Amino acid sequence: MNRAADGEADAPLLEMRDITKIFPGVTALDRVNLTVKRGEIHVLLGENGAGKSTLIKTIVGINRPEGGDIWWQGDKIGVATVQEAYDLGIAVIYQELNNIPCLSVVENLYLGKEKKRNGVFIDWREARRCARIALGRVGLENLDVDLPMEKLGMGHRQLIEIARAVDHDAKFIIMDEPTSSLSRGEIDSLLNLMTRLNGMGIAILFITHKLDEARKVGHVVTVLRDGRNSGPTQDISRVSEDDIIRLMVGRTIEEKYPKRVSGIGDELFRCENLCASKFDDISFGVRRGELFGIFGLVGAGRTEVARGIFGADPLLAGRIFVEGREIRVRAPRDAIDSGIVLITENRKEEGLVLMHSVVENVTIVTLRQFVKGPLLSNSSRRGKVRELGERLRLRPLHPEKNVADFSGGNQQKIVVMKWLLSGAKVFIFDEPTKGVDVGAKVEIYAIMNQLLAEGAAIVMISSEIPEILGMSDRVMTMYEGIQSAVFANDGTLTQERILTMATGGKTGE
Amino acid sequence: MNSKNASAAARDIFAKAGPVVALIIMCVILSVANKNFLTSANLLNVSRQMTINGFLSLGMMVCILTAGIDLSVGFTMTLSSVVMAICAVKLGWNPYLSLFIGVVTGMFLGLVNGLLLTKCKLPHPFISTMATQNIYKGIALVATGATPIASIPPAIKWAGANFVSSDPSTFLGKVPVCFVMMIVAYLAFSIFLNYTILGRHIYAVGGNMSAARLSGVNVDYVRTMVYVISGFTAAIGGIILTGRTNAAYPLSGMLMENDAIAAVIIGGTSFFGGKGNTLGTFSGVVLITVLRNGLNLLNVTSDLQTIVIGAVILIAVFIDVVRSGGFAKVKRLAKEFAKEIE
Repeated sequence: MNRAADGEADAPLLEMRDITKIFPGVTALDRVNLTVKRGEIHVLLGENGAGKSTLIKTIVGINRPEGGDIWWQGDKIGVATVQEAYDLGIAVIYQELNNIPCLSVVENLYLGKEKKRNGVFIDWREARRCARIALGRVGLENLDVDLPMEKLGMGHRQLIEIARAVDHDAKFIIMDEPTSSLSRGEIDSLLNLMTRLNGMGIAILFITHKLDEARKVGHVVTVLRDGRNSGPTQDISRVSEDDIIRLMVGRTIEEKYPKRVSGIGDELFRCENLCASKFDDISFGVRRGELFGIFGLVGAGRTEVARGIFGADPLLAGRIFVEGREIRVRAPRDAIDSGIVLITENRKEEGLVLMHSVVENVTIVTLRQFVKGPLLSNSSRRGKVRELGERLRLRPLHPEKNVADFSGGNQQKIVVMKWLLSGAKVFIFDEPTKGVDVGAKVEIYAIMNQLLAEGAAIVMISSEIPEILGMSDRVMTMYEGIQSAVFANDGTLTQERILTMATGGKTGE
Repeated sequence: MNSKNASAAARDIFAKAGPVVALIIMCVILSVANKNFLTSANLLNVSRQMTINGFLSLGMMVCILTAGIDLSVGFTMTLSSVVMAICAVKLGWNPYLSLFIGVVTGMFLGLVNGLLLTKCKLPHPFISTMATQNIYKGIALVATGATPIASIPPAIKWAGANFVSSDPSTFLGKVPVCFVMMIVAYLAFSIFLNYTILGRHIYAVGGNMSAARLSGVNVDYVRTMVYVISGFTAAIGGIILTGRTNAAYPLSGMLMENDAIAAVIIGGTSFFGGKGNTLGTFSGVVLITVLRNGLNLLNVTSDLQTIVIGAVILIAVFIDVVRSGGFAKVKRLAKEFAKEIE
């Protein structure tokens, strides 16, 4: 109320109070509070779906919250656009970088804020001069500013975005999982840069779910869970790793990953020496009732292996067997006919036709089943879909509703319904719980267990180690396109061993 | 709850039948404005005028449903009619064989469009069909020496020139054959799109091409077939035009694609694919023809008519945008409101 009287210097840089954001079917944020002080590196922790990304979208005006206030340096603000936030000094470095690959470094740096001469023409010489200074601040003084962005690696591109933010006098930089697609070396230099930026008086909100990185550079930590604050903001050096995990997960792993009681049968699927441009010499087998986890960092080639097996991308070499018989996969149709299906990680782009109904989406693979005489029988399609929907507890159970109107977890169920109908036996799940809330996660795990109990084999690709440990019977790690290890998940397997093998470490045990 | 469902249903019907409603409103206005509009002679005339665009629009619709477009429909029609006329008139072949050759020619020209897209991986059918439009036009001009081929045999003329019954005193004696053909074609396409595998695959490919591919849909086959279908309907249009004018003109297809695209878009088909239906396209076709006819009756010059047609396209699409966007927003707000009450 008398905030202005407090004086600008005492007010925190950013204060968010009781932020509530509701999406159809989900309360993404429920009265979340976050206070970032000047000059601090504030770590925001939480699992996927905990509401971290939603929260930052609220800060920069992409989301409009239903409730709560945002204060910036003591003033109440209602940012409407990203540009407005930028002008206030708030910059976001997203996981998916926001630059234009075919334009040069200098063009990307000043896109929308071009250096002008006479108010009309672009002053390239000035732009290049400033670009070199800006890049120097992030340790890229030797970079050729005329290189097109696409010639640079992810690490460099990210640094250029940070340079752009710094150059526009950002006081507060939000980094959304900035290390997720970087190599070890790049991660270390990014963490160093964060400390340096902090020394220049820039506050950073560091969003991550990697605890070691958080502890290395962070000052304070706020944990979100299921769209709520989980405990108060604390000094990061005073909380133990166990405490943080408990705050993030809120329950033990046993509760989160439902137990299955199915037995493991004979081998259902096997691939030998698969090769393609992004991976080499991959061999593994999966038995009935078995869940085979594949773990690797982004870019390790996991998704490519899945797409290769499914026929979505060509294989250069290798053999694939289903129930002991070798099959040839030239296109997805071949894999589907042999009972191998792929549930892609980005279900909105590759899994579903959002503008069409559940019936359309579920039956698109298996239309032939519904041909009565010369024509399709839409009533039998609807009936079958309703039956499957009941089995997987689709909510709401409206087969005629468009898929776009369903929540993430239910959309995932629709994808599974589609493949169940096709008589699939081998399910490859690529990041099955990406972008769904925690409750839906457990439901998806339950569906996977149900499939296993019915005698299916599952390959699950995941970049969340707890999920891999909680669900898999065996685990394969991949590093730079090579299968670096296969472990039995017998209770002695640790996060550290998986991570070591997935980051190119040696089996020195 | 019930009233909510009822209003949702009403909205749904309006969304689907929007073009039909617009058509009815326009007919009412025209019948008041000009007493000649609502006469059987005029309406039968309109029914005949709409058939060629009617057939071209059907093919155009299936292309646009896959997020494609066929700019060559006009000259596919021309070239297939020219080939047919050459066979029947210059070579003196059996007229039924010539009809068959004409239809096969149309499908072949469509196949070329499809293969350019799927096998040669040309980036967008806008480019490939714009190129073939010129090529087909050129071939038609060269093949005819730029002069029309006249004296078409009666068997070929039948579809475009005759009436259902040969007795002009009866009602059927006033109904053009081509109009009946068009109605049958629209019913057949409605069944094709809703009740066959290829039909549903067309929607899936247009709705999300990668999802369709990963669902085992043979996307290249579907995308090729829609151009073959477009070639087929264009050839039927060519037969009707040849019959009606008793000649095959090498420039008959000029700008025909414009009205076809307009009819499809006015009919509510999404230009980005995946959404649209035959009833909408039918209404679009009728609307454009009735509009032209009405403006003629009101003595509006053809120059001014062009402006009106352009405006109608803009209004139709704008209404669609407002309706879909507006409705989505209202729905979302209602949902959020319901959540808050809980």
